[in-house]
Amino acid sequence: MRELNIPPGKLGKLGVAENTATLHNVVVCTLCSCYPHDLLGDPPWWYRDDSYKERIVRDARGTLADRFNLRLPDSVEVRVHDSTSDVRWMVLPRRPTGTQGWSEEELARLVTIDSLVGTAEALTPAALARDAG
Amino acid sequence: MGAPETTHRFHVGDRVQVKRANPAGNPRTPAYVRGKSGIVTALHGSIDNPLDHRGLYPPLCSVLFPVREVFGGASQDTLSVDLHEDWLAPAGA
Repeated sequence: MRELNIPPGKLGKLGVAENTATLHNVVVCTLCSCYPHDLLGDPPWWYRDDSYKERIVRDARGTLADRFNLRLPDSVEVRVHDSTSDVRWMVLPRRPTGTQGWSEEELARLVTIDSLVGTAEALTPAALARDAG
Repeated sequence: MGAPETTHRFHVGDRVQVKRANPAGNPRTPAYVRGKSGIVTALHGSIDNPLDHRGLYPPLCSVLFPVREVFGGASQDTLSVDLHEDWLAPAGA
């Protein structure tokens, strides 16, 4: 935040939820649409949509599968973070395999808006190559 | 408005129950967790947020709830909800 010169207080506090091999995080703001705008820009349109807000808290696993085509194994806990404007949450996606030695700039190309909300994983190198081709 | 009050009444690991109503408090507690119990997992202090709040809100905690305790069913997944302490009471063990 300091590096990007974002004034404190404007954003509240930034919360970072890190995905691991056994935990997948996803972010919502059920009462309004709190989001770290100043850091990430505008959220995806569906982030403000009531159907997303209502369903993700009740059945995150089903919502991710049906709406976002993200199917997570039972061995992975899905945790929904319901934000306030005091702490605005983003997801830190897992680093895809096959990216050893990649630079920060190269890795950044694997990060999508959806992966920062937790409705997708980061792109794989193969997916990135497909998109580029 | 003085310095942010950051003294928490609760600690990480405490079991807490969300009040069903809190007429004097702020309205930023989702209806679905009211009356439910969870575990405090993080303390954020009292956050200066003059654009969104009139005055300073009480300290904020992240509270973790099993989805099945909030909505029923058999889900093994969890909900982490950020709640101001005036909405929380100690829960029985």
